Amino acid sequence: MSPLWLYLHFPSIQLDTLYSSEAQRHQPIAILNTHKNQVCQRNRIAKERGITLGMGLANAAMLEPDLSVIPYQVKAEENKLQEIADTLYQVTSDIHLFKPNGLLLRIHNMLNLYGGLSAYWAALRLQLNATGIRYNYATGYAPLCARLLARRRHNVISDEKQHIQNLLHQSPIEATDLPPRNIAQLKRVGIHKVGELLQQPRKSLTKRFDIKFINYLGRLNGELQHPIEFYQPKEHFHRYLTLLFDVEHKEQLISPLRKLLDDLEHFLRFRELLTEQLIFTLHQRDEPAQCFKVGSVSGDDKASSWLPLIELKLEKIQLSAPVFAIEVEAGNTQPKSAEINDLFSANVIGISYAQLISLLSARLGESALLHPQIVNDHRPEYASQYREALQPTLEPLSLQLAQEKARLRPSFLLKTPLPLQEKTQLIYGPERISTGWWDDNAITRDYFIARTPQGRFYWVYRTPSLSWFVHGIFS
Amino acid sequence: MNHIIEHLLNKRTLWQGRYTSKPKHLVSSGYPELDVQLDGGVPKQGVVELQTQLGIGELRLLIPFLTALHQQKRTLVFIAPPLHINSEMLLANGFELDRVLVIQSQTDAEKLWAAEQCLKSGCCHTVLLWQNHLQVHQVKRLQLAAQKGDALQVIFRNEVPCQEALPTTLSLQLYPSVEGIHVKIHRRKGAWNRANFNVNMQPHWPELIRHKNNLIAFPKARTG
Repeated sequence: MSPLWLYLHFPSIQLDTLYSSEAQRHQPIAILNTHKNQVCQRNRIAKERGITLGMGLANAAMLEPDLSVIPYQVKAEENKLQEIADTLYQVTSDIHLFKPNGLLLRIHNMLNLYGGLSAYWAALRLQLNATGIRYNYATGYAPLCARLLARRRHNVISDEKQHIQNLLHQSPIEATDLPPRNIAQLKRVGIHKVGELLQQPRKSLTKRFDIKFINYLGRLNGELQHPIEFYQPKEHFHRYLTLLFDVEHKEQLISPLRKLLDDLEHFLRFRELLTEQLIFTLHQRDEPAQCFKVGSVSGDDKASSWLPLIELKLEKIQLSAPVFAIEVEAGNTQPKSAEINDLFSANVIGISYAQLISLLSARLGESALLHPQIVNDHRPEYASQYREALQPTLEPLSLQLAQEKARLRPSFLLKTPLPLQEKTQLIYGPERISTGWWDDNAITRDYFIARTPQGRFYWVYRTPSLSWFVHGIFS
Repeated sequence: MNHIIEHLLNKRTLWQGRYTSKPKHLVSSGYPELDVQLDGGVPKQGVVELQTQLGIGELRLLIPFLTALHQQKRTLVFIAPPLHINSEMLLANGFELDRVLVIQSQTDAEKLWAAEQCLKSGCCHTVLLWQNHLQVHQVKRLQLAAQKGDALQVIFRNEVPCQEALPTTLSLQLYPSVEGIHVKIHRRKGAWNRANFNVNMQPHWPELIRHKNNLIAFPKARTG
């Protein structure tokens, strides 16, 4: 099977990924390449107002005073390109990144799977349209040929060699990736189309041009191999979302966050993964970025479960300056295990205990959620302790010890015993606890149960020096 | 005349004896006297209010009932208990400590929020909350949450401000008594209030009863 390549050209990635609300759709926007001082992307509104690509900032600003100008960020485009590659990886295997704004797909080996070019293109198109980014495309028998046609916006999907070749031959030589110097040289001798160039005897070209030029022609024609490195998708979710306008109120962060979470859900669902933690960074104008983490004990992939947790967390956060970008990174991921849902149990509407803990800790903090635990010590204040609910459990007590602990004990303990200052009657006791000689907190106490005239039951003890203390309350 | 009755019925200020909506799911409290007065036991769904002083046996009144509910493999939640909950007491009464959650929270709003989340999660059988100030709409929200999650909310209050009755499922006032606890039923959904009565705690906690003959002479000492 002869090789077939598909090139996807994304002319305005940065513009298409800007987050904008409905009201901002009618705003003219232009992306300015600050190095060249040229408009490199602009939206429909800006186009209607006469802003053209390659226009300088002064010209553009004069034509349209309301124009909002955003500096071109090549890094942002490359990141987004990678995201698109991630998405397409679901349907096609061999992807090469032509940074900053092109993707090359090797498709002839995918056609058998999909049963033809049109079926394959339909599947690919579905994924592409979901990204919401504009694109141009073309197929070709060589990578560079497909690239040239796509960048010329031929938008052609065909495996007819003749048809593709015609299109290539009719293209002007400015559309090639040749350096401007070479193009000027060629034009001087009357070569204007790619076809005319390719018809020239190779020998005479070799005499006049350098090896790079000759290599390029060979690759364009498909006679030489273009070295290709295929993309391996990352198993890690990381997104950076630039907001079109600075956001000062936390409530306005919710809808861009929802967009990020939808991406996350999509990412995780395709990989059958759950994540336990999300790390958000709010980039603030002229202030250090704010970072916050949101955890889910059982791990989750759904945007609808993450959003309430994030909303709770946001309540506690104070923005010191407007936010211009949001970054999100997924922490540990784990494979999704089959959920065991008992259809017949009463709790069909509820959430799991782990989800409840995640929810509570998002608002109250991890230190507010405690489990009582028993430590193997005879001193009551050591035996009964709390541990944080998110900490791992201790080993359970042995049965013998558990039975030994099954004595009459008060429901509440005082943190530090207080001197007994009420008139009481002793109704039960004494129980001597004398232990702890191995550390500095040895105790010798005789415990009694005392009842006050108001009917309260205290757990009191007497020290060897005959002082009386209240240590607990029987509720 | 009929018109007025209909109006009152619609406003739910009047109800007919034969259509009372009694709580359906009752669980024995473990105390025969209390079960008789409550027609079978404590509701295991809804909001129960206990007006009580600390340390007179208010928790012990619930413990046999809570132990029974704890068999369901769901969690027992304590929200803002006045002092440190003693793990030894929980263990001695058969509670599995990993299924007991203590939530320490400062503000009333957070406490109520946590209670609501626990109730409606469906993974907690009972939420015990210590809070004095409550409003009608807050109790209604707790009722709905309890209904959704098939759970019980118990509220311990010691200072009850003079106010209108809260829409609780059951409201009891507790007083200390010699043999256990003295109960006054303030409100019970779908039933008439009955007379006050005593609950005998002797069978469950013989040590915590003041008899004539169990008084120990106070060892002569000075107080600490």
